[in-house]
Amino acid sequence: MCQTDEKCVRQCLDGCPDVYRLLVQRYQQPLLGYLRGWLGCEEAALEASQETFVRAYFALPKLRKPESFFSWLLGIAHRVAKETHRAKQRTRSIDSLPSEPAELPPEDASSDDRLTEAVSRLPDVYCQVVLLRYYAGLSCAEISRDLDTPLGTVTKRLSRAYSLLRAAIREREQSESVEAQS
Amino acid sequence: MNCRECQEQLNAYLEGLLESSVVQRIESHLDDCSDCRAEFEGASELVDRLTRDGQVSSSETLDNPVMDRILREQAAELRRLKMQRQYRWIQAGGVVAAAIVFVVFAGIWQGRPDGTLGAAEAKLSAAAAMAKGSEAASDIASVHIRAKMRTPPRDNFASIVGSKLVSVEIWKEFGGKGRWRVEKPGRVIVMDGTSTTMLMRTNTAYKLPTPSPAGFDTDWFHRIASVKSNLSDDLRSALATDGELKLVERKDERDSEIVTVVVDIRSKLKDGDYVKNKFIMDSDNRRTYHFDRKSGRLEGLEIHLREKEGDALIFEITEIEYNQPIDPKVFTLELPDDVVFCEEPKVLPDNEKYARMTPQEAARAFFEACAQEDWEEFRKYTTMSPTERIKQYLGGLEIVKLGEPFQSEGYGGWYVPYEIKLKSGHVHKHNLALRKDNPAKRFMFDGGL
Repeated sequence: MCQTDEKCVRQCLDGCPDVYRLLVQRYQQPLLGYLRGWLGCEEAALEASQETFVRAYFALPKLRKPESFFSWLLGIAHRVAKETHRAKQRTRSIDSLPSEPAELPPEDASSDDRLTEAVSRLPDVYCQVVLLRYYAGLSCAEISRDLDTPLGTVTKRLSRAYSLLRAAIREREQSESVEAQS
Repeated sequence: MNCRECQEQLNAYLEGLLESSVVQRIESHLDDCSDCRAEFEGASELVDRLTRDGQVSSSETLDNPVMDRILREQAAELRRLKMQRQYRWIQAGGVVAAAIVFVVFAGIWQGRPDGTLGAAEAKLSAAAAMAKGSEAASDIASVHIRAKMRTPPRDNFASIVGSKLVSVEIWKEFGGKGRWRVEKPGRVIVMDGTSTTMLMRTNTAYKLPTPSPAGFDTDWFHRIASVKSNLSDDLRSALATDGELKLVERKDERDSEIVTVVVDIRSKLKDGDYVKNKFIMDSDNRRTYHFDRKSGRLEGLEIHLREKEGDALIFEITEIEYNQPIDPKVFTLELPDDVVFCEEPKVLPDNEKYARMTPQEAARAFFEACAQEDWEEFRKYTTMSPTERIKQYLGGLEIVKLGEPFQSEGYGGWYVPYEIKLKSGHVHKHNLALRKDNPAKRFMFDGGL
């Protein structure tokens, strides 16, 4: 029996906190994909995902539309990612010596960093469907059901997301090639 | 078709979701328009990249660290508010500390006049045994469980209606592709790392194109097999509801080797809810866990349903193996040559007519299709194929009565009470389960025949 997000959230608020585990299991992979895109590093993404889930749990009473749990979670993740970035910058300005090389995300041969970064920077509605389709492995029909959105809208959003992603990747490649030449 | 229409539908085309007439129009436009063709090729390449990137999943699971951290932060908050100077010794990490914190804050830490801790101490010992069992399961890479369950062989994997105990079995990998197999007489489900398939006796199958972590009502099986999280969840649940949680003194020869803990698990559903005690995860039950005293590892489990008439055994682990190599054949499902795959309901040309139906109207239309042996119409209400057995059973039936539809907190659809007279003359009374959370948004049969 599939528990909707709304039902899970309501059960958590009704005194069954263990149900939150289902939400963590459901959105762990898309959230990690999203945060990997912002932070460029698996380890930082794991840490930020954990922080996001914990903050979201304690903020559940403030969630006005429990059926929109995932998009709300992405909003929290975005704030966590920005804080992580700022914290990193502060650490660098205090700790790094001029002779040290700039800190780069560790190489991860298996992930497509440029693509993941572009996904995480998509406008919310497009980012959400791409994450659910490819990082949570849901079919378009399942996304339509979970978001309570017509199937046609889901497929159109994905088509639009592809155009935006390709444009973003092209732009990034062009700017990198200009940098390389200069 | 113009370029805007074509590009809007590119994804639906790539996903194979369009009707053949639209596919033809798109393909003919792609033949003529180089811009859209380039868009299509670019989108196909992007879809491949997204698919590959989406499959790069972390081997770490976050649910245990997140749940443990939530518990610790809650405990820390309580400690700040209520117990500022007392119980400073509660500093250890992990589930054991969490259990102790809960026992303390649940308000049961009441000493006896003679200085002993009585029930509270017994509860704490039971909590510690559960917590130890959870910690001892941290290194499990795979599990294989043989069990007996009170469940109708031909029904779903969670139903506990009936009185017959049948054999059930689960194999589950943790990490890697997370493959699993769950089996009972009449049904088998396999997740092979890429897709999830259920075969129902003898030739009906459902296939999900994705590697589902659970599915087809097996969630609770996975919960039991995920020993670490199951034990910590049950412990939290017992402590949060102040249900029974106790160590059982055993006087037999195994007493020195085995620790037995009894945990009371309450259903989240209210008394009187139709679904309550019909499915294992929606039942009030008593779980008896057996742990190896030395290692803390789970060795056995019995689940008894708590009913007014008394407790009844509904599940019993007869064998549990950890970290044993699993034959790859276990994760391969042999399908019969005449297999019939059930598909998700598709949007019909006149779907609106069906989408507007109330649960009772849908139930009536479904039974009328059976009465008239109109199997084309029958298929609009169910993903089941009208096999000979179904035709024989339902064909030519007569509707005697349909009652007022009702719902349950534990079910996302509706139940419609019905009474039908079958061709055989037998009168059958039950509740038809219907749900419409499908892409076509119309009521579909979901059980209760």
